Amino acid sequence: MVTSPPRDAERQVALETTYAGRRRRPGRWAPWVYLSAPVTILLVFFAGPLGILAVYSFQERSRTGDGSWTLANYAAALQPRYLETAANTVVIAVVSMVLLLAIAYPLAYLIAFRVGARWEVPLLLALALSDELNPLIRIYAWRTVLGRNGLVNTALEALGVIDAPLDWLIFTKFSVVVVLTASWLPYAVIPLYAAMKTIDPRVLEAARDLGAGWWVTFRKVVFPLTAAGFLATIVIVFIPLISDFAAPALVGGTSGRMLASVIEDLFLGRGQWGVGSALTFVLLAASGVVVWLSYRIADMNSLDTSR
Amino acid sequence: MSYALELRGVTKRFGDVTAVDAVDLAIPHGEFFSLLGPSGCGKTTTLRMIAGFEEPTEGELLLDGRPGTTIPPFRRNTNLVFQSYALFPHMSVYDNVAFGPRRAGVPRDEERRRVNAVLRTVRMEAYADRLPRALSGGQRQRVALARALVNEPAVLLLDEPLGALDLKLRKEMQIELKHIQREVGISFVYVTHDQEEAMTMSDRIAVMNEGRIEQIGPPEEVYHRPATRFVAEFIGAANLLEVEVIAAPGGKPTRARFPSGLETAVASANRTDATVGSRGVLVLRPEHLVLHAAPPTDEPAVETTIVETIFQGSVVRFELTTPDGTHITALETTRRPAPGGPGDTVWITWAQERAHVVLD
Repeated sequence: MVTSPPRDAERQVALETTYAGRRRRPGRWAPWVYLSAPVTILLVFFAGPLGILAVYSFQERSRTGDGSWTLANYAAALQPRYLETAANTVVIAVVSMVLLLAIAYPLAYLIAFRVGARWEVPLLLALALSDELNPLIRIYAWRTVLGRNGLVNTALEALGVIDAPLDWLIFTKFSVVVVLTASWLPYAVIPLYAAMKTIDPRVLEAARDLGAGWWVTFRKVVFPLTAAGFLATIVIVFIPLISDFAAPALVGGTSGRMLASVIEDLFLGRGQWGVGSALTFVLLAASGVVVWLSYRIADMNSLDTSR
Repeated sequence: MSYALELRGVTKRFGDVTAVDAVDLAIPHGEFFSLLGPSGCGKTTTLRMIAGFEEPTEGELLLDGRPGTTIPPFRRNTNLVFQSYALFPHMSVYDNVAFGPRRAGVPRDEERRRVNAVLRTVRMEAYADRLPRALSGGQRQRVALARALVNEPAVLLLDEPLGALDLKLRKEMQIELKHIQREVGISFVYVTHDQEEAMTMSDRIAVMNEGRIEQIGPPEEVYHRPATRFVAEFIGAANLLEVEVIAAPGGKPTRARFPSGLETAVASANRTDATVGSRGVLVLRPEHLVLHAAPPTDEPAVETTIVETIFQGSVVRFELTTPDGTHITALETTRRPAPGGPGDTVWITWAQERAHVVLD
């Protein structure tokens, strides 16, 4: 049995060596030297383009670059038709996120604690592999499942549950949520699984032994101890969810439209780069708010987990 | 009389492996009871069945006289102290201990009173606000104990709780655990592979081997009158000398003979259905042996050769061998000079009233 005291002692030693090593290191610039490559990449390929978009978003006729400064693009971006799509986007992303967590938490728990050593790695591999599939092929596969003559409708008709094919299965918010949830499941399960693996299974047994059923055990023990993984999952998954454009384009129809597909259309279809840029920043702000909120929720100090 | 805990024919199989085989136990209220055995003997599985984490394949379990076999752990009137302590790492000492009372819906002021009282019992009241990671191993151990005790269970279960502590602290905690158990008066079921630990603390010990109970009894009985060869060898050090019963009035052996023809009195035996000719071993504890430089005339003595003498401070250990090659260990106090050195011939005699025979 691995025990805590020696582990603490090791950590202490590790800390001391780290500090000692840092003190001995010659220049204050060393960290910047190490960081220069990733920082350069970030500046050139992320901050740079973002800056250009920011300029576009505040210019008139910005495509030719001779426009004057204006807020008109933001005014256009905040029109009702875009706001409706924005609301749609947030609804789809939040519903998918909630569904993802509702599926990923139990799944991660089962893989980490219940399935046993024999199935643990195969299941994780299966999850990772499911993400290897080309996203387009995966979405087309969903069309054959959810389509008018797809698997679900055919099966339900054969069983006599329905007389006519369900028409809300595809080209609706529903289908976008299904496809997004399925596509991002591995990215939700893996950080949660990693967080759960740090919990000593005996701690869960102790909770049960002390009178906690599964829900109290989850609320008082599993959730607080996986708060960091919970946060990581939201940060990793929510931004791709809210900015996805392939799923809405292929299975969303008109009711399942999302902001990213509108932005794509503004840039590539209609050539309205200014409005597209402005919408981009609206979307960025929205995801920023969600990430900030999830920090607040997962903040263990503000969460009373003791009672 | 109702027992705090009763096991009737409890068996646990994992696939083809029988981990626990038809175990019968009855533990009265307030007893310190140990399950002692080597690793893999089924003692931890037995404990986990009592706690409710495993369900018996066969047999029945009674808690406070009521059927308890299928009660889930969170509704069972037992609490477990884990070997790894399993404290909630994100909760303070106080909140760890208060976890059980809160689940039971104990009112706030009652909770505070009980938690503080039990923290005082384990001498941790000054650490109530600390997180487990800020405690030493011994302190965590006390918190784990307090967290279980605060629920006032019918039976407190302890799974090698001192296994992770260093020797000195372990010895201190053994005494302290015994004191705490007397103070709270709750039955303890203590799992350990350390026979010295079991003897130090227990009112009674069950020695387990390969899923079965070999013997149940007070420490003195298990030590002086082992029921099987396994118990004789597992508890303390033992010299086992082959003997044959030559007198057994009413089935109780009184005299035995060594293969060399030497005869000796028998004080006790594991069976009362012996006959003349029954075979077994005479169990001689190293500290019950006396070494003589010359053959004594008034009592039976076995001739041996000293292979090695090992000075251990308060005692000297003698490694001896008989002419037929049987190995014997003897311990003598250093009060008198050694009767010889390696290569010398010595004669051993033993405390006649401790001559216990284990028949096959």
